[in-house]
Amino acid sequence: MFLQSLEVTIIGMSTVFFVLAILALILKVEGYLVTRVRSGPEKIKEEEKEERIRRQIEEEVEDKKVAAAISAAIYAYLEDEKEDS
Amino acid sequence: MLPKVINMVSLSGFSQLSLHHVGMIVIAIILLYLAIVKKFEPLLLLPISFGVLLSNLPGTGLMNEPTANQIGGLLHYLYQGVRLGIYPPLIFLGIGAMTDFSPLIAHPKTLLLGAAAQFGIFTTFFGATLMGFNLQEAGSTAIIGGADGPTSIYLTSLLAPELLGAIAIAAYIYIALVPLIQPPIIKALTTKEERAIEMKQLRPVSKTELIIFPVLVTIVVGLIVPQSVTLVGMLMLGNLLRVTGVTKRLADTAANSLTNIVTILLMLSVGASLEADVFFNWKFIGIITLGLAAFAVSTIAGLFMGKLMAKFSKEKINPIIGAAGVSAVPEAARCAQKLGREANPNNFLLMHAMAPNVAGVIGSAVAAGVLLSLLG
Repeated sequence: MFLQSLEVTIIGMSTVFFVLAILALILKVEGYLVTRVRSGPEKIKEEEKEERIRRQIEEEVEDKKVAAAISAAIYAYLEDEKEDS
Repeated sequence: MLPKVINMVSLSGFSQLSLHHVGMIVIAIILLYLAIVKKFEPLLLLPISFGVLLSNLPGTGLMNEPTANQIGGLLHYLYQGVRLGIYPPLIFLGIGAMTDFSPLIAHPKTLLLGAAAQFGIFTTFFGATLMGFNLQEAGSTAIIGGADGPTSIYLTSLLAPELLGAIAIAAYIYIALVPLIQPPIIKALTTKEERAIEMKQLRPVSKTELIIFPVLVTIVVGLIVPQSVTLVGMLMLGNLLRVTGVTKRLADTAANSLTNIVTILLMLSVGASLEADVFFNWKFIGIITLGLAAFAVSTIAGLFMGKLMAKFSKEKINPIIGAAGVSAVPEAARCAQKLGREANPNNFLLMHAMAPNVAGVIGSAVAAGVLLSLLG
């Protein structure tokens, strides 16, 4: 009885995972294909370009923030130096 | 005249009333109170409790089987829909016609959350056999962990029909208690930061995808676990009626009139099958305890899978949507939404939680099919 119920537990859980994992995989592929077909290659390229530009802008903004922080720190340091002297 | 009066008195319920009958009538009244006053799943609990009351009034013969010279009782015939496993698949047809699978199609990974939340079923099955239940009874009790009433009734009617009333009542009580059972577990196992995680908006799903989905699921599940197609097939048929747009009348009937009619017949029959011998028995206490354990383990397993996905996924995933993998639709999803908003007022998790929630419906039906094929 113990072994039999252990068997059912293991087989049952593995089967449920297997079935739902297969479905997840198929749906993922289907979603990818449908998006590709619906969008068409040109639209996808356009979207990728937009995404690249968006990332570039974000990086530039981030760089500017870093530069501003550094210059603020240098300015504060120089002010302190001036006061000390 | 006097003999006729004596005969009438001897045929009345009073002369046949036993302590068991009184006990069951009291239980029916308590269940009616819970349904009407406390509003615990009233659409289900009210007909169940009235079924208990009807079948436990002595001398009515409502559950009597037909004999050579007398037809059977009304509830006996209505009960055949349960015994032959007809009502639960019809309820699934209605559920399919009501369910929007687009969150799941947009985020298919969440099917794994629905799978993890079935863990409670199988661990409880193992625990139940250790407690002395036979394999069929253990399977029927464990399916409560899937938090799916029709699935529990369907599996029990085929594996352990003598436990049907007790299991149906336990399953629906726990479904009604989702808002009380799940939050403490979720809060204990997640941090406020985790609950506050906002998820990216789901992509729109095309009509083609919506139509392909039910056909695809039926074929895949049907080929791997044919025993679960009775439930999954009807669920998907209902959904196909909804999404095609060419069968609006049928979808509307399945989602409303048919579901309501079958709910009345199913719940009345389930209630009528609840006899004193089953209720006043250590097994009933075992079913209630194991049912709660199954439900809690399913919630915990869903949460841990959510945490795992949150850790390894590129996109942000709030782990509490994993708890919605139990198929109490939409209570479990609402619970995730409520806790998410408590932690972060800008958090809208409902649609994200609906994905594992409907995955749980498919998962528990598959689990029932697996148990049926291994134990039936």
